[in-house]
Amino acid sequence: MLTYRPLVLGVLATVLAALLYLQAGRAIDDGDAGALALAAIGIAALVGASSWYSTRAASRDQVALEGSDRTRLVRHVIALGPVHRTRAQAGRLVSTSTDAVERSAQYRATFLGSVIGSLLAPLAVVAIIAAAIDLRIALLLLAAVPVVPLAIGGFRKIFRKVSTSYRASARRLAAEYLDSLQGLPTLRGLGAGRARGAALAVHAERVRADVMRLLAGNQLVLFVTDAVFSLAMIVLATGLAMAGAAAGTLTAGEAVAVVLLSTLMTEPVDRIGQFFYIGMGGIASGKEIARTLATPMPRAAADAPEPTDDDGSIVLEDVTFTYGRDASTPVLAGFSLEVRRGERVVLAGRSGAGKSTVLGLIQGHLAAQSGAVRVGGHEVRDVSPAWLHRRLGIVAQQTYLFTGSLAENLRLAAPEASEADLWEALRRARLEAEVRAWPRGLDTPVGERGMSLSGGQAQRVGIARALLADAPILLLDEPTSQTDLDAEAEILAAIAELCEDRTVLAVGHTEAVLSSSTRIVTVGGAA
Amino acid sequence: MTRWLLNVARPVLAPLSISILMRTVALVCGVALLVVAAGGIATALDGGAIAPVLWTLVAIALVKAFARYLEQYAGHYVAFKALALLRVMMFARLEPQAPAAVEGRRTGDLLSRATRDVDRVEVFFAHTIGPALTAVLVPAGVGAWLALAVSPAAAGVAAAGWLLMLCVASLGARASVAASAGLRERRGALAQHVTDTIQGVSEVVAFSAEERRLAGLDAIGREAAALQATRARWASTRRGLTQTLVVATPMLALAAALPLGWETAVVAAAAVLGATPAVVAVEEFAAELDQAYAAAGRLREVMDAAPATPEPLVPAAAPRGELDVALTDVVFSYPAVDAGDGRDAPARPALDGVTMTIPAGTTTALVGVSGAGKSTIGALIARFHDPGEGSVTLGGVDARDLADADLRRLVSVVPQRPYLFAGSIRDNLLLARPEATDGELLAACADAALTDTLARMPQGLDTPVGEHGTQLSGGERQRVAIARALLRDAPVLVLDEITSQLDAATEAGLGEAMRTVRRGRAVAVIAHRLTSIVDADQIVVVDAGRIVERGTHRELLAADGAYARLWARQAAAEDAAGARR
Repeated sequence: MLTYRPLVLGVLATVLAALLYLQAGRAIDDGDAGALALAAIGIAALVGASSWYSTRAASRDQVALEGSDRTRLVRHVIALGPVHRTRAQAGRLVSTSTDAVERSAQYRATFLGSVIGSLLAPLAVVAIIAAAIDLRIALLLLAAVPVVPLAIGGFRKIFRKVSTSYRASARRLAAEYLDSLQGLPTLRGLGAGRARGAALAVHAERVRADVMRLLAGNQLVLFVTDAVFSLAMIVLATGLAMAGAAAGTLTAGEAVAVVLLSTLMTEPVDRIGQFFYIGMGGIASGKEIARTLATPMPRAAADAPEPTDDDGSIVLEDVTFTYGRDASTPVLAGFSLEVRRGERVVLAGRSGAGKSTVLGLIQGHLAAQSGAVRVGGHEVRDVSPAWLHRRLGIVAQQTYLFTGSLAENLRLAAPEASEADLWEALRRARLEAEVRAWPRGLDTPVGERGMSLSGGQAQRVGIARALLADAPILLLDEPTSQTDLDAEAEILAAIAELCEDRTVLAVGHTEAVLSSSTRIVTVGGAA
Repeated sequence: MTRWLLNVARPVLAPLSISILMRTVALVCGVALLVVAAGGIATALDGGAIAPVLWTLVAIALVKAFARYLEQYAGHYVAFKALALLRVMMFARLEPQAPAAVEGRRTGDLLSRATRDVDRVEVFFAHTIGPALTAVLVPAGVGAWLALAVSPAAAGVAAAGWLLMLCVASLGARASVAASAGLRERRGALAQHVTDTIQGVSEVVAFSAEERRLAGLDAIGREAAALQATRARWASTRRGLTQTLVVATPMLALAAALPLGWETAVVAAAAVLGATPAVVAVEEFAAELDQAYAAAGRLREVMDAAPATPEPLVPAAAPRGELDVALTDVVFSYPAVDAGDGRDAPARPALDGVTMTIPAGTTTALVGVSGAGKSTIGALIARFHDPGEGSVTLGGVDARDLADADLRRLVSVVPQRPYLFAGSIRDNLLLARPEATDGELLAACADAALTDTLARMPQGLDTPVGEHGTQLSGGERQRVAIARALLRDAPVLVLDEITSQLDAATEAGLGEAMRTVRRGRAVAVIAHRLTSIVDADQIVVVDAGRIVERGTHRELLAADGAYARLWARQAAAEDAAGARR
């Protein structure tokens, strides 16, 4: 998962800088300022090029990781199918697919590699000191190197507690505020807005004082690390360099080079603070993504075979279905139904009898505990969902409109449809006249950011979609239960036209279908 | 924008000077650490003592760390104070814009502004002002010292290097800001696309549109990636050039001072090396600052927005006692939303020529399908919005002429999803009337049919309701909200009926509570189940923003019109809800 370029290039930049410092030492000993200036310019250009390339590569990796994670998540969510979610759950899913994906990618692409690189850099510096200056000094400094990651590990333990309670306090502050904002309409309805605002300010101040107290502890950790590493690295190196110079084992240039090189070894310290802020957020986001992807999928695999024959029927045979684990009160128990090609059947039954459950089983959204559910003569769970959905058209209680134009919403059902096809579908769905009156016609934006269509208009868009999809079997799930009263007659007329030449299974009192239907089947006892 | 932010935070800015001072000390210590270490080599070669040099280094290192600690602490102190101030101000400015501003489509956006954008401003207070000042002060001081006391040549090299670093930090600033703004917009589009896919997953599955949806998502993702690439191009250019200068400058200064003797040259190089981080900080915070400014801009937009219902210049006297509510020829459209292509989506009037009266002491039920406009009528009576045309009057006084505080005393609202704040039942009730006694609270609970429920709770009124009231059932939440409305004791009540199905006992209790509430008030019930309002004094049928029928339950059923059709539909609708549960 880790991208290696920031790691390798980070170490390379440190090595280059170390070589330059060695050259500085040489210049001090031989007085050749010209050679040093040339080396400085040359090596600096290389370091610059390497960090240019590394930053660029990290950004590209981030974009790529973000895109692939997002696609994987959304594909998974679609595969989970129409599962009931609360608004909060849906909101969390959106935030996982956007925010968490972004943060996790940033962590993996730009952060992790460079952190590891900066932890390895001191080893490279020690190696260079050993090779070019003095083995003994290198070994002594090497002994100090593990102090850095060890201390980070140690502090992480202490810090985790502080950091957890710090984040909990900060979250409490945010939650309190969010609570008040979301409740603002209620507060205003009660005329309590201003009083609540004042109370909120007092409370926020209390939590802030908490946060500051924790921050004081948190920063203390940084204080210690900063002091310890400045001491451990620079003071140790300077002491060794001075001793070497006094004893005559080091030249002046070599001694200066050791001091300069020690500055390269303090680099990991600067990363510690960042690690807790960016690093922890990135790790948490990655876990969130993994959790979502781990949700098991109830639906058939998309690579199931596509049958070549189709007898145009719907058959349920001795079906038992229970929501959840409570097997004592099945919604359907030993339920059977047969709808032959061209037939029209209306499902009747009291509230909760399982009419919508039957439609869910036929579409493969639900899986029966026992019995057989066949469409076109094939067991629903054994065929490819795409094949199944080409057989089934549905007009549900509510039609969901996607952000985009009306044309895009219609082409969801038939991507290849021409503009003329769209107008024809709108005409048959009894929506043409209204759309012609809109200034932007088929290009009118609809959905959350678009024109707010009435329930009846949205429903006729749903009917137009079903017409465009042109599936041989039509499922009607109470298509007029949510529509405006004045549009009801038109919708019923449109549905009647949609039903022509199709096999129809309907739920709800859809008069247009009832009048010409051949059969009424009662679900779960008397209607 | 800088001025606006500083203005907002003025009362809490003082400790920032401590932060800046301490940052200066820490940076100067960084310079001193290297200068003393470098100078120590010469001392050692001359046979000088090693220990005093090392002790000096230890002392400097400790002072440096301590200064850094104070810098961070003071900086965050100011930042958190300023953020708290911003949040409180934002709440105060939003309150008169509610509920229009926090309901419906814009909620998510607004909440993200109020929380995430406020957080982003932290960068400005904690990590910008200090580094910006010291990026100039510290190099200027060190440069002057070098020029006067060490080596004018090295000072010249350093000055050139540092100036170039500052220039590099501003490279491509405009392009980056534009790309950041575009990127945020595209990220919004991504979130919208994902939201659509999740909410419309039935359609996506039914039309086998999975791959097309993913392709659409990918297309937006690629647009975002292109903007990201623009930003990265500039960021990596800046980073590359800065790193070049960071590495080259100290060593060039060393080379420049070398003719003066290596001892001098080493001190010069150490000073330049030590002071460079102060300058580099500019390049580091510049990238974050983009985002902080953009966030501040969005906050300002919300805080400067006009309230949905302006206060009258000269408020009318509030009517007293029981009063009538009347809507006359009301036309109302919700504010248009940006369609995402810079054009406003056409809005459909939510109400179109509505005229109705709720006489004092009677109950009017508003019925119709969802989206018909019945909730909008309720919102206009509570003056959450003002009508575009026509008027809403309370006791004969136009709602627009009443002071907001008076109006809130006259009209009480029980929303469909009553919002309970994390806290106890008592806390939630006291919101309505902070000075209420326990006796009054219990009386209100009795009228709201809550007594039995409270008796079952060991902590009674002090029972915590949980986040968003989730510890209580839907029926209990609704009844707490009714008790709250009763405590308000307002002559007008707007009651949005709960939609989810309740068990029979709860429903009966709730019906009883409703009847108590209605007594002596002008009540508008936004009804979702017709069975609960058959005894209303007046039933108004709303359809597509117009009133299509009115009368009593019996009259309307006999008329066999719109109401009768709704009545017939109801059974089917409740059926479906039962099956989905």
